[in-house]
Amino acid sequence: MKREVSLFISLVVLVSLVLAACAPAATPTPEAKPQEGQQGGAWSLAEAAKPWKGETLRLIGEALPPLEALEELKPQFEEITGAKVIIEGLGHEEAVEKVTLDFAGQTGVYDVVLQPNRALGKLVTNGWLRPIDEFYNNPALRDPNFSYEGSLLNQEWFRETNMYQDKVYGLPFHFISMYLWYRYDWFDHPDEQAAFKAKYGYDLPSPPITWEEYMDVAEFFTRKSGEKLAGETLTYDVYGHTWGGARHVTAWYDFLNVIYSYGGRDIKLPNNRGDSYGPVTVNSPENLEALKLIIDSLKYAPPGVLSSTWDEKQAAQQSGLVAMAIQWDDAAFAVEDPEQSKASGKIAYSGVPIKKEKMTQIEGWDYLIPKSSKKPELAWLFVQWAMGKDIQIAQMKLGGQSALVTTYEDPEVVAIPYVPTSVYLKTAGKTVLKVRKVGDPTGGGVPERYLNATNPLTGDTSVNIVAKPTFPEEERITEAIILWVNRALTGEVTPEKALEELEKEMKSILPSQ
Amino acid sequence: MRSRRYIWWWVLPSAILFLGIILIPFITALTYSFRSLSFTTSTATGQYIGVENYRRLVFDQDFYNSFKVTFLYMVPAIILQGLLGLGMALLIAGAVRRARILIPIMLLPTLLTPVVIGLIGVLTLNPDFGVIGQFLNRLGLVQGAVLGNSDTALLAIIAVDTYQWTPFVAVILTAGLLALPKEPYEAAQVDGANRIQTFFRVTMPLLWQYFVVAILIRVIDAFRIFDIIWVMTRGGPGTATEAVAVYAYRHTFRYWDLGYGSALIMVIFVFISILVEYLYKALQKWQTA
Repeated sequence: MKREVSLFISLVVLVSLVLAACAPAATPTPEAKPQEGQQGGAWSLAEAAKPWKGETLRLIGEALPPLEALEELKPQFEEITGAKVIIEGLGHEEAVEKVTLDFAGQTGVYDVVLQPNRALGKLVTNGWLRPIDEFYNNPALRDPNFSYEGSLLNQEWFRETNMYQDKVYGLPFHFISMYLWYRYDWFDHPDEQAAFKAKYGYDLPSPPITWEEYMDVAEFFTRKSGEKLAGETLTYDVYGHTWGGARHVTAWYDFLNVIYSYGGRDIKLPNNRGDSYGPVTVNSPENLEALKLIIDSLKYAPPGVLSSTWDEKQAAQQSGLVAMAIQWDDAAFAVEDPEQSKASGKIAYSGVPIKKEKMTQIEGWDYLIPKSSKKPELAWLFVQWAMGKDIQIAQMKLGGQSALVTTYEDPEVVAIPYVPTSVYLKTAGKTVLKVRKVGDPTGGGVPERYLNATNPLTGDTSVNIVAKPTFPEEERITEAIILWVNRALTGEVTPEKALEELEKEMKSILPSQ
Repeated sequence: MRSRRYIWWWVLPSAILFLGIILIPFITALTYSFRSLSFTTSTATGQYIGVENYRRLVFDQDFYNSFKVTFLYMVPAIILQGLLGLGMALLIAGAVRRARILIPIMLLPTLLTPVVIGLIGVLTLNPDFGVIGQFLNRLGLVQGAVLGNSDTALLAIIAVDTYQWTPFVAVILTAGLLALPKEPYEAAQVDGANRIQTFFRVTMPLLWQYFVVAILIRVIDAFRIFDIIWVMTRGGPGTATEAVAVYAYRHTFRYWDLGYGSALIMVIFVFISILVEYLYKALQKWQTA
């Protein structure tokens, strides 16, 4: 039956391609395989890629700075191999949808696909991906200097983002995490510190490390046009924070941050593994408390918060409209770019506030090689090249979020303001590249307050890394959460009703436990 | 006899196109609607399940809600577009003949893709950055985000859709007005009819055929509305703007439940066919009356 689906989707995709006439025809693939003779001499990319000289490699991913960085760097690969690389950037959801359609149709349009790790279950169980061992263990294709094992920031993060049922299907395009972004120029201003203390009776937490502090700070920095902020008179309204309130995947990520921090889970995944089913626990007292907090916090967010996705959140950050936001680290490059952002150079980065857990959620996009690719070896060579130290460093400087330890040996990379906190979170609090103290002239470094904050779950200062489902039903679960959280945020239903209905729906989607 | 044989050769390209683009996908979707087939459920591998998908649909409250939303959007949108389109057509074809040079400019919204129109809507209605959004907030007409409020999101969709499609209706009606015969007007003048009487007794009956065409096209199109809603609200807040096409899309391309999605598409197809047939007859009857 799935073959019939493939035929049908192939037909639809074919008709769309013909009608749109938007893509050049795929180049024919050679029968040639890499020569065994290469194993005798020194391995080189140029030699290994010789059979594909003049071929075209097509890659698709999310149109964000890391992909734009790859676009800038790809001429290096083209020059060495003589192959042409076409990179297609789409919105997050569009990239996922287009890849699924391409795979289902077995059209073979794409040779490398970048997908969020949560799509792994769907892609693997439908038999659309090639495990990478076949390339990694082939001496003709593997650069002897290349090894990802032992060079990753976090092995557990890698397992969740690139492996499914103990098999490696991808290499990390990036590991990403969310952190609390805050305007340190406002937080560190003496007038603001004095005003906060006078109003709340304790020092302005820079940054807030509990949700109680977060709410106080959000309220404190919500100001009207004409009021003063950090010594200047405002010409527009400013808000304490922003949130993803629209019916969009942002609402799901933002919701998870709070429930995880509250010690709640939507599904209790066994051994923190996304490829295993666990009991649905979304309708819990912790999650209810968390959802109520989110709803309560919206009064300190811009008026457009209920139609906000991560794009509007980023725009609010860039235009200096908000004091805080919990945002992805791969968005930080654009917020730090002075040409795009009024807030550039005025931001510091902390972790998500703590209730019962000091945590961060695991996320990543992977380089994956589809079974339908007619040039999987060339695809592998490209991925291996992109994972090389120099490319990773160059990509990092252009907005990437490298998963390799070696990238962070470069002093220029460490000097990027958001890098130390990113690395700290992704290494579960084990790696501290730099510390930021209140009053420091830049935003770079893990804030001292957050660094020293105790994780109530473990009793030490480590950070829990929390896995999300990657099994095939994940997309339907996510959509259900988005819908019910959005209904609760807009007041269509009470938080109690939302979680109750959500639990019923999630149980009906998942196989019975 | 010989020329008859050639007729088939002329028809062949259209027949192939019809088969390839319409008939085969339609039959395939019909087949899927009787199967359990999903990329996100490991047990749904395409097995035949009879009318289970249709049975599920009968008890699906969200499906009924999507029909309700579709009508709540469609009826006012088409009435508005009809009235405004008629006004624009009269302006162009009648009093201000020179205004005809404005036709290409007027058509701009219709020429843009719904995605672009939707994005324009999102940007202008945003209360933090958008001109209209800020204006509505300052006037106190809306609290917060127009698109984040269940009471106003659908109104915004109707407004944006009307912005895009009114010129289309106007162009059809303008063509109709310019093609009307002069004799009935001369007769009405001789009988001493005033402007209003001439409009309702002469112009409207003569123009009615064009109106029917414009309305039918818009009804079919409105029932399929997807792009504008997806770009502006994705069916939210909650399910306040989740029209049937958005609902079918969600099941087919978000949940990847091709079986249920196909059943939804079949029901929508049958419904549109009946609706158009009924509407056409009703409009014809109205004209005769």
